[in-house]
Amino acid sequence: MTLTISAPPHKVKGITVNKIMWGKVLALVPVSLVAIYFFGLPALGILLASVITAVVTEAGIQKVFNQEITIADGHAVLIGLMLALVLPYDAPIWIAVIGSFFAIAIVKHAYGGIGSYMFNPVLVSWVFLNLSWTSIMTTKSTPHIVALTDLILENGAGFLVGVSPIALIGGVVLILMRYIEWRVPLSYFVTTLLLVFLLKDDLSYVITGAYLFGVLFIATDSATIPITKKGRIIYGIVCGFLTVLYGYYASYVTGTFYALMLANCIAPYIEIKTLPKPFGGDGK
Amino acid sequence: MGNYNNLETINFLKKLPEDVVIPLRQHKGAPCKPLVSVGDTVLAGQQIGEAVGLGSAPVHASVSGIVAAIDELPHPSGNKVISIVITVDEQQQSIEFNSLDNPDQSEIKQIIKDAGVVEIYGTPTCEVIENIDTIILNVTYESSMIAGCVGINSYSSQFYKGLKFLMKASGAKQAIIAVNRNNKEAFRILSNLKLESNIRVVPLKIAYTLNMENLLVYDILGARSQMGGKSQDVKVAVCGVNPAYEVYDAVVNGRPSMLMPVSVYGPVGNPQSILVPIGMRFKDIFEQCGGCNGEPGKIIVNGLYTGIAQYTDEVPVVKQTAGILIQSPSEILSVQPIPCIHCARCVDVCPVDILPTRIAILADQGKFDDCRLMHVMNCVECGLCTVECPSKIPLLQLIKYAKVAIERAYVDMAEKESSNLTLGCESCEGGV
Repeated sequence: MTLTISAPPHKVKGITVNKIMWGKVLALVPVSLVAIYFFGLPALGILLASVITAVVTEAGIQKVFNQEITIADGHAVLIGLMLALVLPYDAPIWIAVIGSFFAIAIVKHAYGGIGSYMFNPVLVSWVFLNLSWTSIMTTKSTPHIVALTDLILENGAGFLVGVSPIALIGGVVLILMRYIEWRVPLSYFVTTLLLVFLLKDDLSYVITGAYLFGVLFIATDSATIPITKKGRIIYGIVCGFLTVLYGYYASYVTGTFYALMLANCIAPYIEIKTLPKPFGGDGK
Repeated sequence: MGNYNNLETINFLKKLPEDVVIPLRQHKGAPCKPLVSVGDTVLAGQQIGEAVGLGSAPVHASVSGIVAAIDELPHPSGNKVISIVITVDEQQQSIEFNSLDNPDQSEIKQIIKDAGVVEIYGTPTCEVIENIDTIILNVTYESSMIAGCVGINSYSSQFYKGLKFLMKASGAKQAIIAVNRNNKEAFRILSNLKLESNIRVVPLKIAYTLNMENLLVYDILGARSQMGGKSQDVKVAVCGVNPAYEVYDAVVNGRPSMLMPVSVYGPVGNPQSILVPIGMRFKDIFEQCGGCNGEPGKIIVNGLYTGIAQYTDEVPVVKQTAGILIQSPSEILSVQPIPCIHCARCVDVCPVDILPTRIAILADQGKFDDCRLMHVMNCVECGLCTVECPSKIPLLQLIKYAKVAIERAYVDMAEKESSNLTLGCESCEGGV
């Protein structure tokens, strides 16, 4: 009889990185469909161009550097999809291609690949596009949620993702399924609401698709947040504070993205400052 | 999977095996000195191994028969241990068991010591109850180790008397019975017992298995003892159900520790909790449980998350065995680790608030001093981080690797059972 021996544990949960990534992709499908319905073929073109570029870039880089090709884990698809969603509906296809390539090649792989990058690839790529081609990236309209129907279909959406805040509900489902952790989005959301309320700002400019997308999908990118429990709460508060700071004086849509990128910068600092206390005798 | 109804009551052996293997090391300390030689006839209950020093408990024959061999044989801990093989005879005679009427504190202590009662984590019970004022009785279990706790269903009054003997022997002022929150049956039985006012029942969320005694003490009493140290440092003893029953048996009937309840879980004909003589080989137990369905792929002792996988089914049941789990070849875990995505799931489940992924990465790079600064020694090796990890990184294994390396390097670490892991680097004797 041959028996297998190995170190414990001998059974693990079915959760995998692939499931998390594809789960996020699935959660973004509804908003993509609404965007295609509302903006028509140009939106479809941007989405396809961005996703295909991301996948091809990742496969190409891994092929050239003789690494295992990991496009099946869904991360490249996710980045491509997320980047397309933060582009204006009338952006030319080549903007999507360049942005997607930049996100995967420079921000993800040059910094060490999945789990190792310091900044969210989508954010950095968006900032890069925004600074390089400002006139293209500036949206023609600003979303303004005045009625309940605007939550379902927002006519003033500038970026694809702004088209339907309610369609991002999949992110909340992922939190309930524990595919996305809850501390960052909760503290981020609560901090924003609290500050907006204190400053007597207009909430209808805050709860846009872009902001909710930032809360549920960008702020929760696990590679760029602190891993300590306390650290994640603080990180959420910092995100909320910076978002309101930008939003109060400028726009809550672009403010969300810039705030999250700045928060990415201080995430490691928050982590080393919130290391848990030892359990044993010297922690009395 | 099969029918698991038989796990919650204790079943009895239908037929004794042909021979038993009784290891002389069923505790933390040094192996016992054998008191018999090959060819001798032994009776059930006869002492065959003499305790040597601290952490060592005497070993008794669990059956009567003839000593066939004394040799180094496989032990469930993974090492080979000097063991006495007894060929079982048909008459099955036992020694005359004597008990004292109304023994006093020191007499009970002596009886517990002579009976060779050992806690599941390897410390003899008589040493656990030294210098304490509280006894915590651990009735929490992982489902595959249920036999360690079902005694409370079948022998509740004996077990309760055993607990009182323990309190009397140690002079403890209070006792706490820790029970899984969802174990309704145990709560019902305990409420029928009419517990005295200094004994209370505490419901708990998780199962506290091996290595988690100090955490159990903290979660109930809030008393922090150094991880890797002993719970006696904060004057608490953690005892199991079966040792409490054995204490009762030893004091009232004069019988030493001879039988162990073990649960057999997995693809066998009839999974059950079964009372077997110490030293019964696993393959004989499987036969009693209706035989394995097909070739077993993996045999695991004491729990899915923390248990040790055995390389042979010749290993015997010892005083630390509570559950035997069989996995068929298709159930065997085979995963390919990928880079950490810092999802922090391991941090969220860790019962002692350390950062498993950060420590594992440092351990992988050999930065053991940094691991120590991250409090790796606090790890209770519950395995939950590895269970949760979506990247399938062997976190627990890396953490254990760091712990062993640190223990070798620093002399001031708390004493621990020797590990069967060996490090490749013999040249670095440590930075002391």
